[in-house]
Amino acid sequence: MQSVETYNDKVVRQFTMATIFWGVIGMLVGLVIAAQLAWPALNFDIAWLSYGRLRPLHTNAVIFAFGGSGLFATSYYVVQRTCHVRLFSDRLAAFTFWGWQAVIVAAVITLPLGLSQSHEYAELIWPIDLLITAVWVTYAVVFFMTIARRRIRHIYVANWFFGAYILTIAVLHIFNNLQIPVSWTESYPVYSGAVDAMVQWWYGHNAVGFFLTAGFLGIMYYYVPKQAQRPVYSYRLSVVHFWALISIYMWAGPHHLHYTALPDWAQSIGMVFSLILLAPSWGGMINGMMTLSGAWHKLRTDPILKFMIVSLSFYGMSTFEGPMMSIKTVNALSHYTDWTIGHVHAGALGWVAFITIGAIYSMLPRLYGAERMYSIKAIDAHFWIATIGIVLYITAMWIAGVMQGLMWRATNPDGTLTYTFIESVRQTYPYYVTRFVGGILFFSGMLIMAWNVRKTCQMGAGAPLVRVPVPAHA
Amino acid sequence: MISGTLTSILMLTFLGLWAWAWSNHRRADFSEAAHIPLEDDSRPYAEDKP
Repeated sequence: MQSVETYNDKVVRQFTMATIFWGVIGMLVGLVIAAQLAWPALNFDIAWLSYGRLRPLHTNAVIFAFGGSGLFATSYYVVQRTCHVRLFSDRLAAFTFWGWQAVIVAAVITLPLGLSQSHEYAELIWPIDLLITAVWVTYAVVFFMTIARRRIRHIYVANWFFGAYILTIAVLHIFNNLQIPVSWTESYPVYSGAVDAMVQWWYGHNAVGFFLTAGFLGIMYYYVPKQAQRPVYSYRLSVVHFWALISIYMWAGPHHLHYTALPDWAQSIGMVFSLILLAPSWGGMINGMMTLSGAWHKLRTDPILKFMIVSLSFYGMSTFEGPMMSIKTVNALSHYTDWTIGHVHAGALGWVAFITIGAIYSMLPRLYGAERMYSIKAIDAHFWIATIGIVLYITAMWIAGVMQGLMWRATNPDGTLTYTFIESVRQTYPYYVTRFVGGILFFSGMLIMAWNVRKTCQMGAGAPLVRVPVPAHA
Repeated sequence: MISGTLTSILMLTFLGLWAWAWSNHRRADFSEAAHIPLEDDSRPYAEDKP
């Protein structure tokens, strides 16, 4: 009996719980800084609680702790199920879990202390960067060795997306964090000036493209068909989608540097590739949505599918908005305004968080030996509260952003500026409050989820051992 | 000249990818692959005991 091979679901369970835990924490920090923008006195004049230190804590917590743990959990789950083999090396897999948690805890300590490399989404200081590198290389070894030992000839498309995300993040992380240490907490980048900026946004935009897009598309390609109980709409399209998306994303970074010291031709390249990116993005969105064709009625009864399909709608929306904002003349209005923040959250809350939440609701009962989630009604409530929260958030930021852009560019007949900066800030307050309310709603949804997950675990038969299927032809 | 050549190569590669993905002899393989997520993958080990 000992020879029967089972899936390594322990590490999946650990990462799943970490996803929910860090989701709640990261979004709570987001709520705090949203409140600080509306009511600045909330930093209590304590440096550790100041906006400049908590903001990177929020972004790191939601992207790398919540999103990252979600990607570890789902990629480990998917690669085993679609390759019919146990995850390579239990020990290395365990190292990725504890290593990643150590990185997050280190971030939670260092960022409020003000220790930072001052590169957006790459704030963590160099000793933590080294740990990230070790964890990530181990992740790559575990993932690709599992694929190498697969018992199914074909590598399912979700694994291609996960694989691209793992490889690319390794390259991005290493090259954007090439720093010369001068002490245990301080270092200087090897690049300088516009080159440093270009490398930073090559990293920054591909963190969006490969961490927040390719990885979550991997989730989409497994969990949407699974939950709908139908194969993906077009497997052929998924192949073209994959190659088109990964070859184009890499070049879109310069659109973060429009009208800066970056050479003009480089800005134009960034804009053109961003515009082209609309095609593969929408190809993927259509592929995911059409998976439900002929089974749309399932949306009426299955709130988990609602999460997934609405996440694809937000994906489509933000991948239309992104290329539009990368057009230089549009960017002249939108850059540095809260429109950007609204755009990011349409993607982050609407797409990334929703598909992750959907995947967790779909996978969690299986992981804990329960028939289904404890309360389907609570999933439905979570869906609606979170959706209303996102809509409030992004509409508030759209209006605020366009208003700020118009106020900043307004000039009097004699050429002087019509408004001072502080006037635009004053006008933004009502929208900051609206955004805060949207944030409260989204955060409440996460608490409902945490409660539902707890109840489901109590209801379940404990952690089942799931055996790897024996090959049909054996 | 170089950029034109490069653009042509990339365009042909892209069209080739479409042709390959839509070719008839990929159909069976792709259909098999597309069904992988639909397998029942969570039968507890205990249920399989004779």
